[in-house]
Amino acid sequence: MALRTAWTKPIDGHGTSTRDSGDPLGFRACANRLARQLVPGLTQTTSLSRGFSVLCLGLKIARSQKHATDDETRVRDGFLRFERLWVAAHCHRDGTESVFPGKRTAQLLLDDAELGIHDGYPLDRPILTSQLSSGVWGAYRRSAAMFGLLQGADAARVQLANTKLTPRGKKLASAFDAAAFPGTYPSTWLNYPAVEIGALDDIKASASPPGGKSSKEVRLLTEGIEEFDAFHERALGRLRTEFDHLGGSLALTKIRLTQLAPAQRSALRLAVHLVEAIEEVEYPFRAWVADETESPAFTNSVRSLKLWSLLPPNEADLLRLGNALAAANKDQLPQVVLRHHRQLADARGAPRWEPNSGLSAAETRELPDFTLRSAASLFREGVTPRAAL
Amino acid sequence: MPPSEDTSLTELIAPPAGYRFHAGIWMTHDLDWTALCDLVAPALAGVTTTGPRRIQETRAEVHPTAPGLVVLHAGRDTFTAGPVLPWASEVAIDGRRQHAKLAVLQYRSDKGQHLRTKALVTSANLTRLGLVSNLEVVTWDEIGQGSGPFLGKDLLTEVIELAKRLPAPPTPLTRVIKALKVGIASAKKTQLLRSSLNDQHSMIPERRHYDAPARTIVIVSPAFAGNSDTRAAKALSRWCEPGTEVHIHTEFRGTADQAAKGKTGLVLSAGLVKTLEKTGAKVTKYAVPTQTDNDAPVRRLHAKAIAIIKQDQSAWVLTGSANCTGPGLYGENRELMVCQSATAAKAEAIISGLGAVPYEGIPIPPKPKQPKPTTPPAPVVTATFEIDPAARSGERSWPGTLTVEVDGEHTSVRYGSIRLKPGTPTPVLLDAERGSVQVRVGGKLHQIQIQVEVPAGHSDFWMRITPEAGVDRPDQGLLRLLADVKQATTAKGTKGSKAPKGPGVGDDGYRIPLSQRLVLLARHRTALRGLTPEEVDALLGNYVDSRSAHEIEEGVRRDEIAASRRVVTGIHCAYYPTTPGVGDALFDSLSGAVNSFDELRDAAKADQP
Repeated sequence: MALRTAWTKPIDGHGTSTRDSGDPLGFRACANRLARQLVPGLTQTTSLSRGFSVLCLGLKIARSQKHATDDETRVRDGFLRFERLWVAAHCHRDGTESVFPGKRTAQLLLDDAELGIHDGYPLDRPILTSQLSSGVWGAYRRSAAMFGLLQGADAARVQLANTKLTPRGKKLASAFDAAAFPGTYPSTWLNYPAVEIGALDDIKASASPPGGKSSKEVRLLTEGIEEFDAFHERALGRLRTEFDHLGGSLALTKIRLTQLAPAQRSALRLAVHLVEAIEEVEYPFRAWVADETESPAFTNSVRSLKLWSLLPPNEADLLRLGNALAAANKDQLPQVVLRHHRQLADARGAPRWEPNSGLSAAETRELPDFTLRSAASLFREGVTPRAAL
Repeated sequence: MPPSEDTSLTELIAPPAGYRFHAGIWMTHDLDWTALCDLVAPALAGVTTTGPRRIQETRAEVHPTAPGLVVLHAGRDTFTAGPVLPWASEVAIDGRRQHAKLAVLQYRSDKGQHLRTKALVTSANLTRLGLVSNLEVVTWDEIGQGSGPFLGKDLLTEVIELAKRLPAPPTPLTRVIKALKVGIASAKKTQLLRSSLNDQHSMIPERRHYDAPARTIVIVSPAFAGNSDTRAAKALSRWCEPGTEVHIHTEFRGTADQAAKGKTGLVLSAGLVKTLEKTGAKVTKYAVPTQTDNDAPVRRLHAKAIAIIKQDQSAWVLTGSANCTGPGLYGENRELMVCQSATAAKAEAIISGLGAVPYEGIPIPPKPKQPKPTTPPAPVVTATFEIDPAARSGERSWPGTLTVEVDGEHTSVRYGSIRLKPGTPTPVLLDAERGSVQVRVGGKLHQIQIQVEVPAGHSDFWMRITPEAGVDRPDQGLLRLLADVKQATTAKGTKGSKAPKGPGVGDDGYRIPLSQRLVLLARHRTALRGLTPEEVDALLGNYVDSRSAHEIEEGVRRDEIAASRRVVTGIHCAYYPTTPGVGDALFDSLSGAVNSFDELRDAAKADQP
């Protein structure tokens, strides 16, 4: 074969998993830990009350299929098909405003079904890569277990076939079934490869339960949260009070410290200063890596940020960064930060961010929200845990 | 030496159909083990799965008795450790800086009776940037078990000599070399390699007394020469005289439009330019833009090439690892360049593929810091982990015993927070994502990938991963094709204009590369069923035929495109009987055959339980 020579073309890295978590200096990992103290029980992905409803009804239907008991594959298959049915109905109803994970693929499949490329909306097509872990099950099951909706679902590895609904979980499933599937039996569709588009019209697939606070779904979820909250100094109830006080929002710097539980208070204090540190240290580092500046614009004040004196001993990585910055002079700050990043990246097995490399991942500038956005979203739907009973 | 369509290293190293990766050597300066695990190893193993199973299937795919892959690199902070990959190992090369980038890869047929070997010399490091986004150059060759000239023979000869000079060649390297030698035993050297892998050797061909000076010298290189560096120019000056034109192509941080306007963004050594000009040569700067437009992802220029175009219209074209610096061109670093003869027209055709524009602006002087030409010796470390028989390959961590041997001075040896005593087997829980030990020597940290050994009698350990349920495996090919079909049939005429690039898109804005489109259209032919003839015509114009207006006018690939169009039209005829026929008996038969294929497929599906 004759030698061949070519320039290379970019590839999209499709299918590659990068261990680059987008947390080059360790601030985001700290933000996640603070979020668990500030908003216990919820995560970035548990922002829809109907997410809990879909999980409960999906599990109920999947486990009740014929010959499904103890058959993990069948139960999983049933659950995933129900989720696809729900997301399809939701996208069919709300189009570009749909909010459930998998909406993009579901919309494509709906369009193809409407064009006649498929006969009906296919229920055997996943709507997400690794739909189980990145869909409703993965997003909501831990919180659902904590809120008393599921039994046997809070371990690291869980089998759907061994996971049961609690009495409250069963009630939530029934309430959702009655509200969203009046006069239809969603379990029947699970045995078909596809569902007719016309049948999707019969599903009342709104993102939130109609009736808000007074809907049975929201009331049951609130009960579960209150029961959980009782063991966490009413943390979520206190946040609800602040949500009302602030006119329907939960801005980090406006939450009143005095209204929070002690653990929440120290987490909030730290969170405010963590945001300051991200802006003063991480953002200039990002700009340096993204090649927006020749050299990073660290101010002298990064050496004495309040965060460094507030960090608890378990935040070893950030404490080390704070100490190194405090010991450095202004000219040394870029190398200190770069060295810290490299140590973290090497320890994680993540790719290093090189200065002036133009890395697109470094261009994003998003502050952590400490799960307050999820909490606010649920509160807007009418979830109303009380701060005092 | 025909210029080839742009390619990617991961495409080049994929196993030929019916073959599996068996043994290989890769040399690089920077090594990112995570990029190896995410990109190179799956490509070698033919794994296309995404998500957490990708690394598991990659571990399982190469036979446990195969010699596997050995990666040689420059060591120290050029190496970033990463996950466990049992069939790959790494070796740091100290002494003269290891800057060469090559691969010699052997594949065996499924029954083991046939071998194929690929060889490549490139400018790309084995890092994520080098494999995914940088603009690099690669020269490659492939052979069966024949006796012709093969670039891999030249490369393997150099590597064997290098291995002999190592204080203690590791066993994996010896095994791989042995396997590669067998595969290309009958092949001959091409004599096209310029190598300073073992001994210092200039990368620039000597100008013999009867050689006229160059008409044009084209340099393609990142701007790594220091501002006062004159040595790179002196290496080239033997070919320069008054009347020689030197075209320096280097990176411009911005778009072609900005470069054409002379905006700031091009870094270049003044020493290089002035020294070349002193020979009487006329130096012109060319900007290789890093972006196609302001919102496009950045592509850094990392390719290194030199074309020496002589007055008799013949040319030398050198491609490989050497930057336009003194240590690079004089071979003070360990470098490799392939030096091919070509016509002036072909050399110019290759260079024009860069899309560079003449630059009239004022260059920015480079930063003063230069890498050291040598790497000090590091202790020789072997770290071996024996997995406990009770462990399972699909787990995220494995219990077992870790033993580290260190030959040389060191301060400490650790696995994460666990301090290890050299020579003492230590029970640890090995994290699948953290497959390295850290050895501290004074203030310097060295990382060494651990060689993981399966429990005795469990040679199929890595293959015992849970089969993935069919419902969780998305038909990526169909989804991508459907997205492309939708885009192509609704696009207005885009001939001659560049489609936007972004995540998830490949050739000219579509998800599926040009080389695979016809195959996927045939495989998922029912996607054509709902299209009207007008929509098929749009598909053919926008998708199957990706030529520019100029290429169409020139008749480039006319027959190939015409045949592709007839195939697609022939398939569509099967579903849309009123489509005008193709007027070709062979392709009319294709239409009839499509219906039969579909019936067979439907019957097979109906027979399934």
